[in-house]
Amino acid sequence: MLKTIFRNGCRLRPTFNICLSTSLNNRLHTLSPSNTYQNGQVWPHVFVLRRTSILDRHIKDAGQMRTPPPLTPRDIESRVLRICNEYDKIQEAQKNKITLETHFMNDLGLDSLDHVEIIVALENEFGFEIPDADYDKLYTVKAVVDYLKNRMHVVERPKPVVSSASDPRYDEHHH
Amino acid sequence: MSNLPTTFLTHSQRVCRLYKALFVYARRQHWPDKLAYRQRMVEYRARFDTNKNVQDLMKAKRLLIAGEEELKKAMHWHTDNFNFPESPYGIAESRYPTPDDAALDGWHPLEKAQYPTYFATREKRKKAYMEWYLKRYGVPDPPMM
Repeated sequence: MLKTIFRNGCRLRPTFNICLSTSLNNRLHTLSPSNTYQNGQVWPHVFVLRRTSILDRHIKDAGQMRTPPPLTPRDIESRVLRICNEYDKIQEAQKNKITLETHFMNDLGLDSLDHVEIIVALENEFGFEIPDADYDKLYTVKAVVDYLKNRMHVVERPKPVVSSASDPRYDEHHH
Repeated sequence: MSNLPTTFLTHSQRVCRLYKALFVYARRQHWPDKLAYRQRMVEYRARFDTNKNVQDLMKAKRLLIAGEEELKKAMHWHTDNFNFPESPYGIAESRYPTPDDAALDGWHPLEKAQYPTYFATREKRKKAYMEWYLKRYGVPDPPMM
């Protein structure tokens, strides 16, 4: 008796598995029990369940992982202004009215070491190194923004309508 | 390469470079403790500020060279450079490559039909390039297997 159960165990199990529904919706149209694989092979339900749950998780994750929208010059400006406003000496001096034309030395009264500190904060924000030869010229906020735009290849372009766009490389959907 | 001395640096520029190199050093010493790193940088800044008003240029230069030597000795056993993740030699270098332009040739005709102007021009340009190639180099050999 025990031998029979052991022998038929694998075959009996699929009959119970029909009651358990798979979580994938694309199984519904196949009209086959859940443990029947695409090529007609019968898999133990544990494997099928594990497989479908992993697939479900992947599908859910794929919905979360989208290409972020491309950077615009506005983003870079706002990030640079935020970094400048967060700097201690600018906050202490209550000089939060920073615009693009603000000069670090002349308008804010910072010295060159403060300038270096701002540059390091910008490096940490944007995630790349600003070489020594380059930051000597970046004394205004506008110069910094222009440099970063140039470095990160950020170009302002009008947002195309999908069906009438002239160049598909500028669309976001095929990345 | 960018740190090769191709130009003459003024005294203040050298001081700025030393100060920025100290950021790298402090980050290496204290990573990932950001608070200790900031503390270290404040201490360095205080040391710089004590000698801010030195008018004697010889003395200032001696101080600068002493600082550079101190940094050199401290950085001596740090063999690896810190690289930002997406910079060259960083851990995420070229992780998200720009797709090749030839990928557009593999689009389905229905997809291509959504951008008629672009693909018409593209076909024209490809044809012009092939003509130019044949004129310049002749018929290419078949690729080696």
